[in-house]
Amino acid sequence: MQFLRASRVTTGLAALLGAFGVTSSASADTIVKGRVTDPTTESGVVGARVHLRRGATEVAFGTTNLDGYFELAFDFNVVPEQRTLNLSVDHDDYAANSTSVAITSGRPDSDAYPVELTPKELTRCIRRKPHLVIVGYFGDPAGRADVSQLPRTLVTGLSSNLLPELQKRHLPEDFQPTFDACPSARPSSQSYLDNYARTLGADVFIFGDVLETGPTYKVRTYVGDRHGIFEPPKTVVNENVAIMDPAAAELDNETHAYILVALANGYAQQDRFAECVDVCVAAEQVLGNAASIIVQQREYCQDRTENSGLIQ
Amino acid sequence: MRIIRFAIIATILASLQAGNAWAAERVSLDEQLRILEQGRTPERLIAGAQHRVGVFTFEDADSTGLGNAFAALTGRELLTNSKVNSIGVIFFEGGLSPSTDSGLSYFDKVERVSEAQGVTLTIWGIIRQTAKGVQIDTYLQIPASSLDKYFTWQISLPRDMGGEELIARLRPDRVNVRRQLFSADDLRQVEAAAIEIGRVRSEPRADSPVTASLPTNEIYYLTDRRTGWVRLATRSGIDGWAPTEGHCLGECQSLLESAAFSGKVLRYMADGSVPRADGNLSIEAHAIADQLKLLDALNSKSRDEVAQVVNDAHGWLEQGTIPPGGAAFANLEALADLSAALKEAYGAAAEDNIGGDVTGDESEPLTDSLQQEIYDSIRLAPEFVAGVAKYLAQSSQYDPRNAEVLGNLAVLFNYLDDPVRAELASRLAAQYTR
Repeated sequence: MQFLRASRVTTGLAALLGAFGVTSSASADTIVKGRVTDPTTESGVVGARVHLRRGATEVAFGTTNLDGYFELAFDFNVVPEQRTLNLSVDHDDYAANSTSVAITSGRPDSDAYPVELTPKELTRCIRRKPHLVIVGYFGDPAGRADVSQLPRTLVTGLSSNLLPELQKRHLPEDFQPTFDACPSARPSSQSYLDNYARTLGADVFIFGDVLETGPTYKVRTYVGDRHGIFEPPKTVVNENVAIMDPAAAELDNETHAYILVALANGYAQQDRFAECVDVCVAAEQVLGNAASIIVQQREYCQDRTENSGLIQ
Repeated sequence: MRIIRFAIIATILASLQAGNAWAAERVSLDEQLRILEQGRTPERLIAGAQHRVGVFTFEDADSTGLGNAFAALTGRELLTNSKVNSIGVIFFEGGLSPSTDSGLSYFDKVERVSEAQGVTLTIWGIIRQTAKGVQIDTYLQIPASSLDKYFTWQISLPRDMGGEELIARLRPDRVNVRRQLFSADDLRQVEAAAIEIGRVRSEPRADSPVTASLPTNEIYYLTDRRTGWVRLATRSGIDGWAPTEGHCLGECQSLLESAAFSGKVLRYMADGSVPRADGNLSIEAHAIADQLKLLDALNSKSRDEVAQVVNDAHGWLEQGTIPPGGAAFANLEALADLSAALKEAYGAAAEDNIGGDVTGDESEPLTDSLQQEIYDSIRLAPEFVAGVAKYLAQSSQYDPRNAEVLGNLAVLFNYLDDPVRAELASRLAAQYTR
């Protein structure tokens, strides 16, 4: 592994050399290193610009290598008191991010500083709402249909289908999900769905593609979740999706049930096991049968409710 | 989009004699919600009616333009065919989908407004375009005050068993009455039927001339009734006849059947008539009809009849999925068992007390105070009560926020001298009481 190095006294040169991955400083005695990754793929971000600043003064600068690693070596006034520096990272394709680095007696407080950069096309979709369901990109690989509006249409359908199901059970307002579309969220692989959910702050992330065309379309959806209960992500083939009539396009109950199970798991993660049970029951009734994945989630939560103490 | 809520208040007073009033008033939904958010109480509409029903514009996310038409037909059916004296139907016009200002939607929005207005029952719906046609979901929502007043059943345990009350309550209280699919022709029928009931004719005949359209913002009165027709009048001088049947055919007629079921629930509230759910209604509608049948049996039927109804209700718990209402059926079943055991114990104790068959014609009637004394001295076998408690505790696992079940468990565990579980059940019941 080859690290890039930079120096406080040779910042401009370091930047130049950094591009070639050979920056070094013979006199440097403080080293801050880490890795910059894309959270949607967990892969390193190449060529991210890494700045280490104390106040307005840049202490060191470098760029990440082909695996997203960086190493900043620099001379620093060694004092016993802790000094806090700002490690900021930017890249043309990503939203900038930063973290703090505490230096005491010339030594940083961590061996490595991981920094995640969120792709810019996703940042506008981050809502910071609890119990979020995001509908991402839907495409037709064969180019037969314009499905650009499908995510937004599906959001409307999910809201009017699932919110009443949950409200019927008096799910507290704070626990009711929000549905939103993010057509630019386009995973390159279904194995990244849980990463997309985490990055977007969603409990559930859905994307899909068109399989068959005709009077109505056959649409495949992939359902992933933040906590990885669907491993691999659930795949549902939705029959009779009326893509040509955007108002009529909605997903099958099986997809709805998986969304509810993922939401239920989100409640379980917050130790709200009673609400988890209620939402699993909603999923059973939406689907019309007790599918094993629903029953498993329900029983997991049942065993953890305080009500379980009522049985000896 | 500017949303205006329009309220029409309609009243039929006892026996539908001339002079019964409908009132109409234009109100903005946003304004009503704003009033509530400011902590104020909106003016109560049609306060004099004994039974006030709220009918909301069917949510029309796909812009079919028929949200008000569905609500109008539903409301008119309730008003004219519920066979309930003193009914007021309030039409609330506006969107029920999530709004950015309040964050409320659907049931929660309906509940907020209907609680403020103190209505006894609310009906609304969702219209959705689907690949198979336009899907209509009709919802019935029972406010908490109505649940307490009309749909709650209690047993007071004997004094020697603690004297506390066990409670059963109708669930679900938010019911999808029916899901229907409408074709384009069906929708035209609905539109035409809504227009037809919005105007009056000079005579109660379909071929008589239309004399006026009912204004949307004015009080109007139901002044007379003939087969298939009602006479409506306004204070501004409009007076004529509108149809109550024959104007809405095919799927439109089926829509009225959904409204009719809600009307039957309203009638249960008015006079205790137990509603029946026909085969086309949802599983949830069937569930509440069966629960009301069971409640009625517990109140008024013989032991054998109650046993039969309980047996029927038990079928809901053997379907492999959790029934609508969660543990409501199990709770009713448990209370029915306790009720039967208490009746049996009372019968035996009374016989001992008077030395003969209490049901026999020759025995002296027991005084009220003696009957109470006999009842209060009953103590059911702890093993039997423990079995009931175990059954309820199991049902609480799949319906953990059911406050009635938890409250009943607290009572039973107290009797069983199990303070730990009694305290747990009591605390959870308080936590989940709405």
